[in-house]
Amino acid sequence: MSLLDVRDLRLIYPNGHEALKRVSFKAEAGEIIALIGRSGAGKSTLLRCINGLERPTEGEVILDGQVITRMSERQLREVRRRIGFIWQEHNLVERLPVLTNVLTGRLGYKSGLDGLIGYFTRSEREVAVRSLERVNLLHRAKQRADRLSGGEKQRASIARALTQQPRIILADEPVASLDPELAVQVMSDLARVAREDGALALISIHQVELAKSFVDRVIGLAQGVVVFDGPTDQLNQDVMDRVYRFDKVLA
Amino acid sequence: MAQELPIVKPDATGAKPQQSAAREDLLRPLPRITARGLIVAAVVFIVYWWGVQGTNARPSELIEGIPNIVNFLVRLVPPNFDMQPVARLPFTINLPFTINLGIVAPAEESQIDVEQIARQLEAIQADPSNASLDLALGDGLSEAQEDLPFFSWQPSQVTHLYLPGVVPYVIETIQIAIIGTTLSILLSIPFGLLAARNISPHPVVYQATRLVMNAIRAVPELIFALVFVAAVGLGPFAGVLALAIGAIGFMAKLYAESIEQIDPQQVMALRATGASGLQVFCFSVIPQVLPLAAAYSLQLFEHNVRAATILGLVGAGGVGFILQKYMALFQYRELMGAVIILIIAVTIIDRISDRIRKRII
Ligand SMILES: Nc1ncnc2c1ncn2[C@@H]1O[C@H](COP(=O)(O)OP(=O)(O)OP(=O)(O)O)[C@@H](O)[C@H]1O
Ligand SMILES: [Mg+2]
Repeated sequence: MSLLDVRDLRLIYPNGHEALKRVSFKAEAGEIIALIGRSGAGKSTLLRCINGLERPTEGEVILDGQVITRMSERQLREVRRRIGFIWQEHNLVERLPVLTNVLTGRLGYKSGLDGLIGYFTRSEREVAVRSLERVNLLHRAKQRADRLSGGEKQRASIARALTQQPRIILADEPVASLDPELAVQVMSDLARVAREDGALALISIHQVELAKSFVDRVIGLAQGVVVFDGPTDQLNQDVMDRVYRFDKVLA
Repeated sequence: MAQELPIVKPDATGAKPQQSAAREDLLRPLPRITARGLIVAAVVFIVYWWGVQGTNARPSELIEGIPNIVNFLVRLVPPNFDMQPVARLPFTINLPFTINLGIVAPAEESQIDVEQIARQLEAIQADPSNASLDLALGDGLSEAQEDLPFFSWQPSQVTHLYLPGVVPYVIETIQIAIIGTTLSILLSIPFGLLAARNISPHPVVYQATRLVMNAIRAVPELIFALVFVAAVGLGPFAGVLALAIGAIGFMAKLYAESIEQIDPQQVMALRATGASGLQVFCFSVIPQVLPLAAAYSLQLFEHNVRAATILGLVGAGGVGFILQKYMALFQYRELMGAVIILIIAVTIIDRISDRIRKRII
């Protein structure tokens, strides 16, 4: 049984746009996968389906044998807490200190009043601090999130995801707003921690060359369809054309 | 360096491309006159004309009234601070001059003469038909003070600590504002939550809350003051209640708008970690709303200090009461003194409030 099993996923947005048409793939724990595709190919949509932020019109997402596409919001909470999500715009709570932001990764495990007033136990804090250490950001722990540089913010959001002790890390263009040098750093941090934890990482990314040096497998999406799924070394010009220039190939 | 830049020459052909019309419109220094613009201008003119008619706001009226204004202003100076003795000093300060700030004689020098009253009571008992009691309380200004000039080189002695008579009322006003504002904030928060489109539990709740808020906002604070004076009697508590209820409509709207402005991405990011609705609220909504909401709340406090001044006019406590008293008795110099103290107090409060605001934003 695979850790993640996506079956014939189809998603039609309320405005009638079909963002995903029959998307299927399986992924195992420990895999680092790049999700590539042109803007509008459906990468974000697919990632959001995997943690239940978006409900597909048809098809299923099966996580560890559990069909999450049929779950109630309440059940989804328990699934989501083991899925780290890293956003292009980091989406930290700007006014809160870095550590508090990272600690919010523990909220999914808490249900009492303590979780509301910001009380986190020693062991919970230990997890958060450990996560910050792993991305070399501990020295910024007390700073407000909006004072961080772009690269630091993205590393803080990786730390938040790590604090969830995730089995799956979903990253939606995590390096798109960083300069090339930072992009390399953040990508390598992300791949390293995922590998260390044996988590499955699914990273949507536009910089294919950058992705190649950190991932094992690439899934290419074009207009809501998987047009390539294979190991990184099989990425050749033909595949790239299918993913990025499908309209010209067809014409 | 500058010379190396290519110089763009104006197009000499004179041919204008069609699509530059929109661009041209942007370059126009004065807006084009349109039918819509004319209608708006006409409506604005009518509204103002109508307003001037209704309020009798005519320059001629003002010019005719100038002598009255001058007369009033002259009677305001020098200000009289209606200084009340609050404590006896352990020493006496000898001054080589006298400033007449309206110092009232210390109470101990005008104490009730118990023996004299007893004598009067006996007389009344003896002859009840001629009942009149002179308590000789010695209130108000000592007669001599009134005639003294504002400043003279006559030596004077200060034996007591004096405070302007208006100070206790100013303090009461500030107290009313503090308690009223706090209550108002607490009452406004639930309304604000229900009236924010993005977190309101149901559109019906949202609409209903907005309706109640609009209704409250339509009622002036003074009306609330009158209602609460009737309910809890004259005094500062009525003022507190008037402020607490009166601002709900306004504050809840501001809170709701602050909540509607938050970044939904930051909320979504927390939801994605598996946080519950309430947790997302505490960790993402509140931190985002807090600075704006706090700034609005301070603004309300500043507003309420002024509002509490007016509330005294209807007996709901505060400095308005004494201002009205001075006006009714034509004690314009005392009025001026009180207004000066009030301005100082309000300025200090605004400064403090500004400091706090800078801290939290
Ligand atoms: N909420 C929505 N309602 C309607 N259409 C949507 C919505 N969200 C996305 N879409 C459309 O669905 C398609 C896929 O969007 P998606 O965001 O998944 O693309 P993407 O591959 O992540 O693109 P990008 O690289 O620009 O982030 C796009 O055409 C987009 O316009
Ligand atoms: Mg996207």
